Formats: sequence, C-alpha cells, structure tokens
Amino acid sequence: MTNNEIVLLVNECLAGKRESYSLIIRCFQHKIFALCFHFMGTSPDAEDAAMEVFIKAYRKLKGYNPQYAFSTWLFKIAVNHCIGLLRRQKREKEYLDTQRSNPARTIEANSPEVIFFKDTRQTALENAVNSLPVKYRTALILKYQQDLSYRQISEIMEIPVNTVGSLILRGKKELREVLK
Amino acid sequence: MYAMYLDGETGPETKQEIETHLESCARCKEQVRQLEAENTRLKKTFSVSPGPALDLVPGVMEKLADDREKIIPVRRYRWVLATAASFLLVVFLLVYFIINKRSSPTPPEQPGEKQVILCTARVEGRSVQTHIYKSDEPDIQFIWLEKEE
Repeated sequence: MTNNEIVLLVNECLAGKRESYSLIIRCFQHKIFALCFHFMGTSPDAEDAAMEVFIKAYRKLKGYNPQYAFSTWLFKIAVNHCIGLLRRQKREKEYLDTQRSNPARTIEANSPEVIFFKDTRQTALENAVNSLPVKYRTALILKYQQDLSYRQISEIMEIPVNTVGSLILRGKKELREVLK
Repeated sequence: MYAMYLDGETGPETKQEIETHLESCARCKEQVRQLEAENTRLKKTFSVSPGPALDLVPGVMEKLADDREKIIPVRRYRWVLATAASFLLVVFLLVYFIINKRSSPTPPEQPGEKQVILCTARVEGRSVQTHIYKSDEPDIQFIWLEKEE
C-alpha cells in the first residue's frame, strides 16, 4: 500500500469511517508486532504492546502530517510506547527488588538460573542484543529488522542522521565484545 | 565507511569508488564480507514470524468501540444537558435575587428610636458610620454601614 493510499484511509477515519482503520492495521500489524517483540521479549507482551500502539495511533490520528510517511509516524509511536513500557517494567522491577526482605531469594541477572533459562530460550546473539542499551537496540532493530534508512531512523528517534550511524556502529561493536 | 556502504547510506560516487577499490583489495573485500555476514546474522536475529494467526484488528476495534460508547451518549444528549443546565442556572439566579432582595433592608428615612449610631470607622479608606436598626418584626435587627460624605 502506498503512502497516498494510506493517507486516503486516514482521511476516511478522520471523517468518521472507523472501518478504514482496520485496513491500516492489517497493513502494518506484522511490522509493529515484530518491532514490539524485540523490545518486550515475549509474543503475548508484544501483541499487547502492538495493540496499544494502534489504539494510541488512532487517538492521535489528527496529529499525523500527510507530508511525512505514515510508517515513520507509526514507528515513532511504537518505539516511544515500547521504551515507555520498558522504563515502567524497570521501575517496577527496582521497586520489587527493594521490597524483597530476604536477600537470599533474589536472583542475580547473571546467576546460573537466569543464564540457564536464557540460553535454553534464545541464541547467544539474541541475549547480547537484549543486553544492549535501549538506544543501540532501537537503532539496530529499525535498521536490520525494519530495513529503514538512516534518515527515517533519525526522524523516529529524533536524533541527527550522523548519530544514527554512530549508534549502529557502536551497537555492533558492543555486540562483538559481548560475543567474544 | 564500509558499514555505511553496506547499509546503502553512501552517495553514488562514493559507492562507485568503494566498489572499484574492493575489486583490487583482497583485505578490504574480506572485511566487507565479514561485515555483510554480521548484518545477515543481525537480520536473522531480528526476524520475527508471528504467523498468519496474528490479527490485531478485532482487539483494537473493540477497544476503539468502547471509547466511542463512552463519548457518544454525551454527544447524543448534549442538547438535553444544555437545556437542563440553563434551567438550573435560571432557577439559581431567581432564588439568589429573591434571597438578596429579602436580606437587603433599607434604612428608615428619618432617624428615630429604631436607630442607634454605634461608631464611625474607616473601611477601605473611607469613613463609615455603623447604625443598628430594629425592624418591626420581633428578634430581627440589622446593621447598616453608611458612608460619611
């Protein structure tokens, strides 16, 4: 579907034809799910996050500027939503960690239990990717999963184009070091 | 530079220069081959196949319908709500004026037994005299503040 076709559907939605939005969802749902999956880590969480992204996007539809690609606008919402969810999860984890009264019950991130479950579930590279800082991971996902250009990534992450190149290079460097 | 070349982020001239150089430099060619393999592995890692079963449409549309139901009753009955609000406003204003009228006594035209001058005070920079009046109704007195000319 071309961006012009999507803009027509967006206008129909804004005119009250909500059914047109289902076509937009069908067009992007696999990409948004895949993007969310690498932030959230599990299919059910990715599905929930992707649904929330589409709901958020619908509510913000009036703010979409048709001069820009709809996909870039939607990815921006998705990335910000996932980063927000990760931050919330991190805060909740920190809170739960501080609430644990018995230190013997806490499981360290690199404890044998965690490593065992990680290694049985994921490849070494997946583990390494998940351990990357969010900004590196975001840049790598947008480049190597969504196949976006540096310019599109810069618009989504709201950073200069040169910085995108640096993030991708540094992200790959960190991956190499982790995998050594 | 080779990473950007592989990501398709170099201009046509630079791309041509790199390709010409790679034809004659085995070391750089090997470097590019390794970077290309790294990119392929990354793409493989990031590839997700949620399967044909993934359909977010029903869930999203149901949620959006819930939103609509929450908004529509207000829209549908907005004229009723507006009329009711206007009616309540008119009633409130009527009650307010009636009460105000009843509680705003006028001083007697001629000072007499019913009036006691208490003192002269300054209110907001102006001299005022405080009077106490007895009304004809039993147990009702009121205070009247009069500005001194």
